Amino acid sequence: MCGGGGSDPKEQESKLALAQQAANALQRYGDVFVPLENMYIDDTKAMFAEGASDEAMAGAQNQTSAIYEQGFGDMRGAQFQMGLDPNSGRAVGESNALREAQARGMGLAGSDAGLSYTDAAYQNLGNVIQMGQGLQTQAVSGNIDRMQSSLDRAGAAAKRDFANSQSIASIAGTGAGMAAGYGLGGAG
Amino acid sequence: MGRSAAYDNYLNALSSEAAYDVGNFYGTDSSNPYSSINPNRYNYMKKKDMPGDKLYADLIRAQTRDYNQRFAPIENFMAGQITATGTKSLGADLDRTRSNMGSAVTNVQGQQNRDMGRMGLQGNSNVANSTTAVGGLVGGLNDTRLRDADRRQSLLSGSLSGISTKARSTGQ
Repeated sequence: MCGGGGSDPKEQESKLALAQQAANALQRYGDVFVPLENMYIDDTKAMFAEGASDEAMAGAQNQTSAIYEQGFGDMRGAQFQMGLDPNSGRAVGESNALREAQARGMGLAGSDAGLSYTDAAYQNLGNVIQMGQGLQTQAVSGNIDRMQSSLDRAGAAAKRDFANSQSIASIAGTGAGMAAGYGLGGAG
Repeated sequence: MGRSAAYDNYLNALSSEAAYDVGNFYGTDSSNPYSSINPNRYNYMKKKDMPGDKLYADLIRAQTRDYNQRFAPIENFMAGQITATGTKSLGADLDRTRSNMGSAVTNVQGQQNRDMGRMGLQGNSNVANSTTAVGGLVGGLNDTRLRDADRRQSLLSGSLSGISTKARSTGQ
């Protein structure tokens, strides 16, 4: 026999102190951060609700329309300056083509904003899961950032569309130069 | 209205699990999943009875309960969103793409008609049936499907991939 009669093992004094420190930290986390996490979880769930992305999509469509409207004014001015009959095949054809391009641009920008919103909803869900796993979460871009990326693409498309406008090209020298004048140069 | 000292003493006398259940039943401070832990619950114990270990066990139980209540349902929801080809959001996303193209076409057609009307002309364009608009719709729908498939991949390899690894290593 060996070790017979030895004293019972005792826990170190510091172990209870450490556990109490951890308990205090957890309670403080529960008081301060859990309500914030719950708010984030509720917001994330709301992103999956029907109609949640409507504003983001409408905003992207409106902003894209504005990009094209400015170009239309310039195209009309250029057509008048050239003495083009607005009822002529060339004027109507050019105008129709650009309107169709505008519809495509607005539709795709709105659609992209909706898809980006869904992506963000899933990314937020991922963040919640990572919170639960005790992992660091990634920052998610907000509505403004998402709309801006849609508009950057719409701006690049508008730049290409107007670069093909012969009236603008005739007046401005190059369509690309004119498009740059609309402030579309930074896009795309 | 705050809690009475007698009620607090009563909760402190219970195990953290029971205190949590009682607190929940009476609707007191349920927003804090850790409020039922009493850091001083084991102060009276002798060292050989491992009071620190017992308090640690209480903390781990509270964390597990918190995880099961707040985060596990989100994990289940996210896993449930994944389909064989993408996510369950695909249908709604396709609808949104269609409606975006539809509203854009209607909007622009109106703008064009008004624009022509200002010059005394009647607009004869049909934006909805133009190749550009139809091509835009088809492209948008294809893009929506691709984005959804990408989303599925990133869910599988990103958000959900760490869970199994962590689950296997828990307790080791």
